[in-house]
Amino acid sequence: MIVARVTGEVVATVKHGDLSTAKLLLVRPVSPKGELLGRAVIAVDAVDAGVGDVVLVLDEGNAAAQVLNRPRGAIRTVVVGVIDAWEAGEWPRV
Amino acid sequence: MHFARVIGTVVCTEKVSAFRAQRMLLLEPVDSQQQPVGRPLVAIDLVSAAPGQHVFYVRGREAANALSDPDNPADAAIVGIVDEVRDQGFDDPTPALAPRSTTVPSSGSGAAAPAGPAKRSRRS
Repeated sequence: MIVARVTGEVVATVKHGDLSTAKLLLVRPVSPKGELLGRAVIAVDAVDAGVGDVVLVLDEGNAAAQVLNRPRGAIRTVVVGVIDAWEAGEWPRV
Repeated sequence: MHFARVIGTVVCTEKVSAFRAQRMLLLEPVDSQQQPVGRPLVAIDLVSAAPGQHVFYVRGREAANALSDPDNPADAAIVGIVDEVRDQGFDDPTPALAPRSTTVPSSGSGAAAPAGPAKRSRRS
């Protein structure tokens, strides 16, 4: 799992059946300092997260199927938690 | 899932039987602003996408699972056509994301205030 921030939403009418009821969020990984890192990916929302939230994102298909309570399908990236607070030490370490 | 732009089609007459009747497209990975990132790849098309379209695809085992018969060797599959991306960016360093010990108590920006109720009311 990674810590990420929800930076937006994605709207898609034509999509795979496994995604038909999914809310698609744009999430971008964040560093322990809170900076956005890397590129945004699309994740399925399982916890009613919203734009601006700092969230926990899972990127593994078996776990995703378990969280969504359905057989293994086309989904592997899921928002599984909204982070209220976190603590981090020095990063990067020198 | 990742964004990509369809940049071409791939035709294979001779291919593994599991790929029979599957359409293959050439994708260029892009970011949410449609700027190219990374190297092109070939993906199975499950949504009848056309060259030039902004799509999203899934990689790994889930690409194979996306096909009607999951017993196939696909490693990338297009699973949606993007209509709209509402990206607020948040390119600024975000104080609310700093470790708790240094967090300034709700200094107005409110973009990612940790309080649960505030989070709920932000959306409408």
